[in-house]
Amino acid sequence: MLFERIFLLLVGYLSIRFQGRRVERFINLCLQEEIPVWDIYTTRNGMVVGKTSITGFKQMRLVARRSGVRVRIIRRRGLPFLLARLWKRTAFVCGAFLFILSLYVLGSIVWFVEVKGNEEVPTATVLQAAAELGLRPGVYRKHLVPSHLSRSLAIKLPELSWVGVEMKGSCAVIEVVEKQLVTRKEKPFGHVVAAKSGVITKIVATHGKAMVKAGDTVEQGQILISGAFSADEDAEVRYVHAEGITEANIWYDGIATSSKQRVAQVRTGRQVISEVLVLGDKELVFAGPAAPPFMLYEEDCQDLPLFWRDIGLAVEHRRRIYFEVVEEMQSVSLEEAAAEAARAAEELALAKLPEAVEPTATHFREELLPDQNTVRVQAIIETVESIGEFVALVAE
Amino acid sequence: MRRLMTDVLELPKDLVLDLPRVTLIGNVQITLENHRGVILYTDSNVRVAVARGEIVIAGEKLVLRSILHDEIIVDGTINSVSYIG
Repeated sequence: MLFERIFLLLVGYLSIRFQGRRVERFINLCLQEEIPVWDIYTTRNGMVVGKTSITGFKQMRLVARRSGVRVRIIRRRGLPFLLARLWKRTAFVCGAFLFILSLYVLGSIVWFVEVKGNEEVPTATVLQAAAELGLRPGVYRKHLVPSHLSRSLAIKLPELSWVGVEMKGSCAVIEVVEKQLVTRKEKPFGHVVAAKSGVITKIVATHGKAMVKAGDTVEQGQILISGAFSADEDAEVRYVHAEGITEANIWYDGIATSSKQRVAQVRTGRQVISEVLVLGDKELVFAGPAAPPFMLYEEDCQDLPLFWRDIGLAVEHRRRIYFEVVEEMQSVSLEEAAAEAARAAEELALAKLPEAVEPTATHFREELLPDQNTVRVQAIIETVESIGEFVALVAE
Repeated sequence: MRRLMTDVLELPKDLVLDLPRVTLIGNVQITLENHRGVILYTDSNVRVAVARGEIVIAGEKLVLRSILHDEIIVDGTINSVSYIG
């Protein structure tokens, strides 16, 4: 429905008035001649009015005569009539025409030239090369053939491996892919030295000459793979960047002691709880004693943050539990003490290991001290690690 | 005869017998298909010729909304539709 009305307004229609006796005959004749007519009704004055198309009206005049009906135009509606009126305004028409013309002309000129994708090659270079080939602001679009430009630009600038020229409206975009120059970094000459002391398990020199063999004990700083060597005794010394696989056995140790008879702190079971409010640095005791009533004690601190509907308050609630403690003489067997010391020693040794290295073997050495009470245990952990470190030769 | 055939075979009567089809929407719009011309038009009375007689539409403010070769649409306040044939 709506489309029909829009269509009719575009094409244009007329409101007309029929006057005469045989209106029905007129309608039937219109039907026969296929003249479109619609919205026929009788007005309050007794006139019969209707609507028809512009072409229909012209055809209607003949028909009207045959049926004795006079047809008069009441209203003209539609685009064709509007245009007709506009046409009479010359200035408007000229303006519209000039507008369209200038749009077309200005649109067929290249206004911007852009370069994309360049990192090393300066944009100015690309733009200049393009300008020499004919691509610069102010040129007619029609004169340019993008594919030719791409090829010519690529030839003109050898640093580019690919050039693409694309017209996006009034903007020319030059996309550029630069050649990747592979530069081989000069590797400095030097030796591979030991970063730690150990016993070599594997040594393979890919560049340079191996100075030690498997089974040798090396110290930290010792040259493992030499970068300066000569083929013969008298031949010239050649310098290379030494490289290779160097693996060795490394030892880490840890020492700990433990006593058979010792003083230990044992909890009696008595405890006192004190509740404290903490405001920044200050503590406010609000329950329990301020200071522990025991001579010897162990403290357990619990911090309970206070919440009010999900927001933590700045005040903390700290609970201090004091456990009464007495000192007792504890006596353990030699084996137990040794085991304790061994555990502690092993932990210390493990702590010295670098990351991601697994121990291959662990040894313990026990020693009973002269006081017959204390046991000292040394835990030795063996690992296999790559100990090579590159040290550049300093020019002399 | 033809009546019988259309009944038995259940063919569409308006096509076979060339009868008009009247579609009345409330009392606001009436669509008349397969007519033979307008006999009378006033704003309270519309008479349309059909195959075997005529159809009279009586009402108020009747508007011939669209007249096509085979279809007439009448808008307005329709009081009665009768077939005279």
